[in-house]
Amino acid sequence: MSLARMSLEDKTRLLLDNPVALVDYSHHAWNHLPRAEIDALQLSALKQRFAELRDRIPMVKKLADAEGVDRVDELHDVVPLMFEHTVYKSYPPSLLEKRNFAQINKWLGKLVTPELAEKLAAADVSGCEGLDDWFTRMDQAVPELRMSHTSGTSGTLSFLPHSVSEWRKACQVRKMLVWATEGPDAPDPELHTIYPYYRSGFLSHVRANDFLIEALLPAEANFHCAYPTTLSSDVLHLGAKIRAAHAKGTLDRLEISPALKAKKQAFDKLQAEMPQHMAAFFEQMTNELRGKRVYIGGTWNLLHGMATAGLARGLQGVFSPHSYLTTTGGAKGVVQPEGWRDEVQRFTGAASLRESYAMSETPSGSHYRCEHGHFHFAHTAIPFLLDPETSKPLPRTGRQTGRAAFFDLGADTRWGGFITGDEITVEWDQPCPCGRPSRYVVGPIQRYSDKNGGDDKITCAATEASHREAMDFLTTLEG
Amino acid sequence: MTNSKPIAPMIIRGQIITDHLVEVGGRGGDLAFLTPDWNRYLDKLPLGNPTKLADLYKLRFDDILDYAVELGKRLNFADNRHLQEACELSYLTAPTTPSLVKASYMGLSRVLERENIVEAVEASVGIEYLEGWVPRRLLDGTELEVRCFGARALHIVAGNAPALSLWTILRNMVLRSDAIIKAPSNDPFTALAIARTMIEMAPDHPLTKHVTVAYWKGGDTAFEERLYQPQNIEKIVAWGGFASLKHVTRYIQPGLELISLDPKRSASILGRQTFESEAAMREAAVRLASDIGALNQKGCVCARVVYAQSGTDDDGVQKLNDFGRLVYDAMLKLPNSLSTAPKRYDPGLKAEVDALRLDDEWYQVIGGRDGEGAVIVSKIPEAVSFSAMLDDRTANLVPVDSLDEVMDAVDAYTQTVGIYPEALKDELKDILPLHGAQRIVSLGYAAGMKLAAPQDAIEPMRRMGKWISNQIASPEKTPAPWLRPSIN
Repeated sequence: MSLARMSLEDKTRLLLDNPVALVDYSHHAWNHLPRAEIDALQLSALKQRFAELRDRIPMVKKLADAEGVDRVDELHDVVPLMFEHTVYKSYPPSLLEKRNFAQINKWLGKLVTPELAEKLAAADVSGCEGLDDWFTRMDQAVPELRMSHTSGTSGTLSFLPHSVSEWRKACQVRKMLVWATEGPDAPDPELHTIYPYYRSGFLSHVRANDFLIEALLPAEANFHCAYPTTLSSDVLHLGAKIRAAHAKGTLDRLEISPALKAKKQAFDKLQAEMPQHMAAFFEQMTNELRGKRVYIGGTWNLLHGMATAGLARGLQGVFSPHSYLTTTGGAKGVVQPEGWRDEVQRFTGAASLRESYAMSETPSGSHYRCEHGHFHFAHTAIPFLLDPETSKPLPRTGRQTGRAAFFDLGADTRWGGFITGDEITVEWDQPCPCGRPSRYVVGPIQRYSDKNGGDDKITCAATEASHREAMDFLTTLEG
Repeated sequence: MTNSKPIAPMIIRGQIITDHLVEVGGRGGDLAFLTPDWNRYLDKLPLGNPTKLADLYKLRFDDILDYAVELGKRLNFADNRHLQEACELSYLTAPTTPSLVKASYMGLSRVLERENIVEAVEASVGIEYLEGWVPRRLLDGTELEVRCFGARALHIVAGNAPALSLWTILRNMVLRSDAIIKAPSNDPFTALAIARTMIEMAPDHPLTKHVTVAYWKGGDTAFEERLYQPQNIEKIVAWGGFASLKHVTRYIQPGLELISLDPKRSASILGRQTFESEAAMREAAVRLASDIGALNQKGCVCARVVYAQSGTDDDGVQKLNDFGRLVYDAMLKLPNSLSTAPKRYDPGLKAEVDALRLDDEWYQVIGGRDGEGAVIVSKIPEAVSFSAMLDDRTANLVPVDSLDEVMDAVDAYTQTVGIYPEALKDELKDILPLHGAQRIVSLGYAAGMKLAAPQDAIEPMRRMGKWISNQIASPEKTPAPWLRPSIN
């Protein structure tokens, strides 16, 4: 059926279930969806998600009951139900120490729909020796979910219960943009992916690899990574715990299991072998992939690390200028070295670098930066701006600065409302000169925690910011 | 436009400077104020020639006491317009609320009561060492004299309690030191008001002329690198959070000592007896509420994680829950000179607390919906993962079965441990320091820090002085080095 004649209900359903079909797989149509249409669709989609999930996800129901939110008439009605990032790590850390994954599954069950909660509760996780074991087991026991975790700088990992369909929808949008498709019948191009990190792992951005391969590449063989193994979440967690214990002065109380020590050794071995892996990785690039169109996505520091290593080997302009380079904006508290973008482009030879603003908690929200430097919001994640002090919504007019929050419409078995720790400025009214009608972020994206940490106010009570500093400090001592 | 902004003058040894003003502050809704451009006065801030300390040695300790007591009288809040103005302005900059700021200002004059000063100095340094050379004879016949001299010190004061500026000035006076006080951005006015009162009282007095108060932006490295030099300053006394202390350490070099009053937090331990009677529970709840709520938990002395020997079975957890409710109620009833609803509840902490609220499997959150403070009762013997963030009258009660488990309450950052009942202290006071605790106090008295006591496991007063020895020896009384036999 022609999209123009489709009802709002039907279009809403497409936005929620198959967003690329909404624009008939047209990259141009996606970028030029009229503003009024985006608004109408998003409100309608939000109402639908609210109706579907409000009473079915226990933590949402508890919050909605407490806040007295029973209906959504406008976008701001959902603001009191937005989750802080802390929700995804509100389990007691000792459950992980004691490998009490059954309890963790029970806790996770309150973040998802009852069908999934039941499967989580039924999964036999009693024999899991650690996180790697548990994630692997969960993939088998609850195949509709692809759980991931965040890096856990505070020592506690967040667990994100994303569904397979969420991942797939997000990757279909990515495919539409990377391939620049103009319809459902776009031919499969011969695309390769370069990934300067691990083949697999349960850390959120590594977890996406499987879905990117499925969406973008003709075959697994077209995926070329630096380390052909799995990034151990147990080792990552140990690192986070050590940093946290250093900061608290409780390192002597840290208990480390023999299984974990063995994993640490495996990790050390891999570290020792890294130069060989790297050599092989670069050899493959130069011998097999030179001049080809590739897709490279990763955090800015991964891309930059690869570029500096490549440039040091005398490699420049390795791939086709039409290659698709994408990276997530934001330095996450690290000062980005000057000229990193140039170095990445010089090494790869790609004509452009597509930066995006995204976060693990809202996979449908990859907001790409246009040639005017503005991050345009993805239609699949409704942006909100909140007062940083009160968390009350700021007006959706003019130019506003506040805490970014999103409702991820792709989330179908968990709750999509999420408050970030980022300060952004949104231009709600003025259209962007790039011609994309969507609203966009202007100016820098800053983390509130970095902002406050930069203050010279002093109290004698230790603050969380000071602890993060302590971690950085002690990490350098360790090295 | 700028005329409407308040001015924080610079005071350099009795001289009040209001020229070359620049605007500072004003971030995050804070008060913007004007202060002299510190770069223009850099060379005047330090006491260039240390022999200029000599005028302080014409004073006897009694003269210093007389001065301090007179200053104390003039720091009577009701009739000191400098204090009144500073207090009004501090409402806008302080991390605490107006009634707490005002109560602190009203208490300033009590710090300078004669007997209190004598007691504190006698206990923490020994007055005789400040008054002159203290002789003693050593085993080998040497006559040894020891005296504590003042030093040229830079004080980086914490901004969470106005009285800390007065403590600094008092310590500086009794030690016969020269102080440069770097005013904190969240309390830029208190030290100034005290120094202005000193200038009005005795403009040419040596004690007046050895206090300098200035504000500069912490982290102005070009400025600090030139000021923080051994030829200008011998000691830096720094209170503060990790970031600011780490920042200061970059300037430490031979000849420049850091006296660090590190970032700290505090804990409480409640023994089994607490839960054996209704009366004990009620008493402990009021005392604990005081330790949590004092200064709206902005002090390092305030209780944050509380280990309670209530037992971890259902019955024990239920008791702790009931107790948590009592603590919360008592906290709301604290006098507004000690505690109020916080000025601004930390949004990061609120996010953590609200997340626990969504699931009552492991934690019970009492209160906190309106940013007034909260008591989080753990249902398992484990503190919340964000315990280091606890602030704005938010405490975490953790049930335990045995006293072995309470050691988790204490780590390298623990300053004060409040304990109830009193008898339990004797069991714990020899063990807790091994784990990091630095001050043990009867529950409810955490906020009553004493100048006469050590602080943060050091003796800052002794450290702030220069301890000089004079050995008197002659070959008749003491074996002489030059008379040692040669060896083959």
